Amino acid sequence: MARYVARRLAWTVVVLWAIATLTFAATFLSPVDPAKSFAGLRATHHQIQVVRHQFGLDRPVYVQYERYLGRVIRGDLGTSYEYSTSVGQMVMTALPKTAVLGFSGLLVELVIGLPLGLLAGLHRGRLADRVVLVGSLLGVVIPSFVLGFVLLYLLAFKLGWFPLGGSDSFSALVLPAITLGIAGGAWYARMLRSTVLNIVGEDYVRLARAKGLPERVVIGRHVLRNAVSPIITMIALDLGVFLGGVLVIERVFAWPGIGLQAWEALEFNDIPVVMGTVLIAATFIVLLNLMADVVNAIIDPRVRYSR
Amino acid sequence: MKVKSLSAVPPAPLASLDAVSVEFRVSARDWRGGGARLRALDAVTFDIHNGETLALVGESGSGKTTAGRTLIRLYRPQSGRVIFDGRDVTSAAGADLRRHRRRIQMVFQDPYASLNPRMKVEDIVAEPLRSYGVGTRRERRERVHELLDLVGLPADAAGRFPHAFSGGQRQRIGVARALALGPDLLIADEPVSALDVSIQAQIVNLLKDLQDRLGLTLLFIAHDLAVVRNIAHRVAVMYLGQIVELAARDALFEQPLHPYTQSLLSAVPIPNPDLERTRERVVLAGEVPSPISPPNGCRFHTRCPFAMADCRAVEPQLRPQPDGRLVACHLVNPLANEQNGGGPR
Amino acid sequence: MTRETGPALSVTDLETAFATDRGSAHAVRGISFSVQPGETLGLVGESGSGKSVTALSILRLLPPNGRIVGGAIAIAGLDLLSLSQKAMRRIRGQRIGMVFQDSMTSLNPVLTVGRQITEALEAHRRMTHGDARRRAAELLEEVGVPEPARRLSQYPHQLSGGLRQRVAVAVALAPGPEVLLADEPTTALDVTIQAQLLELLKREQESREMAVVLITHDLGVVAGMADRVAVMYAGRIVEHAATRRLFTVPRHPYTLGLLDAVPRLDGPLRQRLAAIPGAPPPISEVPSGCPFHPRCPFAFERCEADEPELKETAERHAAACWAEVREPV
Repeated sequence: MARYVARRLAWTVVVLWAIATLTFAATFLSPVDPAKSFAGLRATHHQIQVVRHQFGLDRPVYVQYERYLGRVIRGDLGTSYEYSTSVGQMVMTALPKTAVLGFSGLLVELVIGLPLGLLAGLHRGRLADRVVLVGSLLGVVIPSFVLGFVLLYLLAFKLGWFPLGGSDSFSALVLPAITLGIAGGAWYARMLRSTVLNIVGEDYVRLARAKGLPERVVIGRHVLRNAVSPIITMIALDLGVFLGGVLVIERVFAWPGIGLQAWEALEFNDIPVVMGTVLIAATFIVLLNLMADVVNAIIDPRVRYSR
Repeated sequence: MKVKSLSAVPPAPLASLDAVSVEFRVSARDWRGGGARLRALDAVTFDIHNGETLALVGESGSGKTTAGRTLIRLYRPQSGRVIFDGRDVTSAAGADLRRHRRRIQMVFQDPYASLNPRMKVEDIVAEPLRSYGVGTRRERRERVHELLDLVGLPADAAGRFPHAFSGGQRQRIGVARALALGPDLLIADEPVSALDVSIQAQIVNLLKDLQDRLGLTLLFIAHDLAVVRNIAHRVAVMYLGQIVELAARDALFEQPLHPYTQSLLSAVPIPNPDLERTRERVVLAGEVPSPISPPNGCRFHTRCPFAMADCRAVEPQLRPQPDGRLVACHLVNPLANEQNGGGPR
Repeated sequence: MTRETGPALSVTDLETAFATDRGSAHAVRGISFSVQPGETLGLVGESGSGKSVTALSILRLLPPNGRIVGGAIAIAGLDLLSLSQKAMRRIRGQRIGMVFQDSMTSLNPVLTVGRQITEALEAHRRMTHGDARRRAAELLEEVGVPEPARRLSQYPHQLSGGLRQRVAVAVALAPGPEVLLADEPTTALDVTIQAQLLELLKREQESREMAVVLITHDLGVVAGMADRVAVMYAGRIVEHAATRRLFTVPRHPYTLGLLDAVPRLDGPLRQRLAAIPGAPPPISEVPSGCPFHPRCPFAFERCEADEPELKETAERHAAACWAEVREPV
């Protein structure tokens, strides 16, 4: 087990390095000139040159890369062009908001998706199954921002039950969380349904029933434990994506998380903020992925013994 | 080692494996042990003569399937040589390999998995012809009909899909496909194991008939000794990647010399209640050892009822017996006869 | 407490059907048999014979599209078909145990071997966890698994095929059932391991005086293990007799055909195996009259029109055939 974790950890480091490198490479591909952006619209050519030199943007690529890596390892993600504050600080300030939204969204997803998925899987072909299938299809197909706007319009604007945006109160959390939850829950429902369907036909479930075990033990111990693995992976990816800032939802609901922050940074060509957000988001996804693998290894012993 | 024959110069074998070893990397860890190298074949040597049926018999992990696949060069041996019709094809590649594979074809175990469900029967059977660019469309179609007739299927089978046929019929389709290019050697890898008993006999008879009619040479890989008894001329018994006994059929079944062969034969159930309940059995203790770390000395010694001290220390080699067969066993070929001052302690 | 002297398991006119897109297909079409305590009944058949469906019917564990549509099943006189699901669950495992063919799929891969044994004990015997574990180790030893204490915490994939199947036997025997259903228990095993497992089953049966229904296609296995044999074809029992009689004086052409077609190690070597032409019919396409008639060398007009009933031809030996074959061919 320890060896498995160690191996995955090693790979995680490699992936993180690759992400940092790719992010770095992206800035070179961007048509935006960071020096110009920082210096501002009315800067003179000379001033831009000074800025360029100040930031070391006139040095050769590999030197910049080295410096970049060095800074990233130390946790220094640069300085925002727009606000002249440390990117790291900016992200860390906005992160808790995103985290709250992310976890709430995940919670709603699971609460909606898992029971429905299990229900559908256990009652294949019957009414419950069909309802879940149709409902989840809608949830998957409708773009989340459309859903967000619709809910915002109906429940916040028209009925006034919820605030129109921001994150001041608990009720401000409700709509965005539900939006995330419905869209994502549909995926969980379908995933769990199909997994359960596969498992229920397996021999070991039949044997469990043949042993005369009570049905709740058959479902709880035999079916669910095998069904859980793909769900864990999904949760990890989901959470990773959420913590990376659910850009669109934060924009729709004006939720001041890192997604909204990155969105605004994009509008102003504030590259360090964008890059920093990307890096942090990617890191979350990778780390959560690692956690998912570890949890899966705990649950499914076959995973531990394979590569 | 060739079996002694009456003529002065024995004819060259059609195919041989000469001290062939094949290894695999095993990454999954399960009951077999850690990630390591698995020697599926360990210095295996045997010949297949023109027109005969040689059976490779063994249980799981014996290497029999690997041997068949190495002959067709699906695997490349780590050491040793694969020889076909006088040519060394061990490292053949590209066009050479294609030429080689045209003359050896394979019939597989699972009639449900070995036929592409989306292809019509005529396309399945004609595929080898198309692949090697043989014949015009019309000629190929004629050949398909010829082959279907050869294997006992009606002509209208050509336009249908595999799912319309039973297991036995599908296996016939597989045989037809294998014969399309007119190979010299047919490797049948457990061709009847997945079939119902009443159908097994049909396919066994079919293979025998084809051998008579076409002068086919057959390598028959199986775990079922009873089936082998009905079709083989010579039998090679394999255990953990090595041949332990190689003999003419009658000799092997009437008087098995290697303890593993004996136990294998005595374990096969016989549909005769009196015989089955009273026969003497050589019952093996324990499980088949891990092929990743096989036992020292004779690989069979951990389960052998006759194991001696030599067996734990020295690996026995295949030695010819008076009747021409080969056996690798210290009991049959005591070491004392080969060494000075040695002997069972 | 005295045991009933009646049969441990009795099946009467059982009919099981499956709902398919082409309507209802009967996999079992009226079969009857009984097994005494300590007796082994061999249920022999090929694909489509309905032998596995019979076992699932006895346990009332058919897939959702299957239903028992007729007949009766009783264990020591207790009618199983009238029981509620809850009552049936108490019977399953505790009074009727089952061993499946492939232990790699019949054991749950994410639970330890020990857990899969102890849960059966906890459910039926109401043992504490500690007691159950001890008993599980005892059972593993009884079925010949070396180092039983260590094996308890291992997972199925860490065991070889033979050991896994022994575990499956231990799981089935743990609650101490009176009846054991074994569906092709050795088919997936190497032949040398098969011999060991059959020996184990025989030993356990004798010491526990269980009634065993051994389902298999292997006539050799049946010859060595069964006291009585019932031959199934296309959902019906076409012949049943004491084992020795079935093998020496078979009465049904299908039995004759099987005995001729099966490759064997004994007896003279024939030039060709006597094959039965054609193939066993799928359950949706059972021929009219006697289902075997298209493949039968003795068939005549009546065979296509009427399906024969089982008729006793000698003591406890019955065959369903109009041709009334007397001599083995």
